[in-house]
Amino acid sequence: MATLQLADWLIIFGFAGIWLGVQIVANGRLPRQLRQGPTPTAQKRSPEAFGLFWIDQYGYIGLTFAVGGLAAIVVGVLS
Amino acid sequence: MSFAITGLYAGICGVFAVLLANHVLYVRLRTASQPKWRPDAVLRVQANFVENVPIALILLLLLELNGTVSSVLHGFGISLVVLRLLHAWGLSMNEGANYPRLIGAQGTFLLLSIMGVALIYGWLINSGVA
Repeated sequence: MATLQLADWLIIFGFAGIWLGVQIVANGRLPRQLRQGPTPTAQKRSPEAFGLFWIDQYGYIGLTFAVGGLAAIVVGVLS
Repeated sequence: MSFAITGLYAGICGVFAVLLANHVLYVRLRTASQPKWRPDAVLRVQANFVENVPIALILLLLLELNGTVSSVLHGFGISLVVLRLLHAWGLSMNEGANYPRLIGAQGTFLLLSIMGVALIYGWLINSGVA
């Protein structure tokens, strides 16, 4: 394999981030803060509230991977 | 041709796998003194390790065979070991969702994705498609 340069690795990291990020969002759905319509709620400091927080956080991680991946691809292609 | 770098991380993962297998036995032999959730948790630690690490090592070996630079290979190998340690620590020592478990699991998936995409990308470059 030809030696991969930094730009190649940015593109690779980008596609990998999008691949995983989209799957994470598909699993956990978008965070409630970014959804339209009624969203589930729970009493503060309850186990259910922690569960909702955790799933929201999961969605943000997925979005970060996906958007960061897209940015890495753009930077990799342009550099 | 030597595959010293993959060999190093395969060796580390090999001895780690023995530790995880014996940890399952250790907990099973002490169920009376262990929290109820722990036997299943340590079993999942070992099962997740067995499910993910062989694939990661195969991908690492193929990257090494393809001539990937050693610093990148070491980066992937160290990441694999650290992520599996985090996952094992998080899942076996804490009940329910926690950050070491999350980082260990999703980090491993990200690492597998990166190595997989790198091999596909390398093939595309070599075959002249990209």
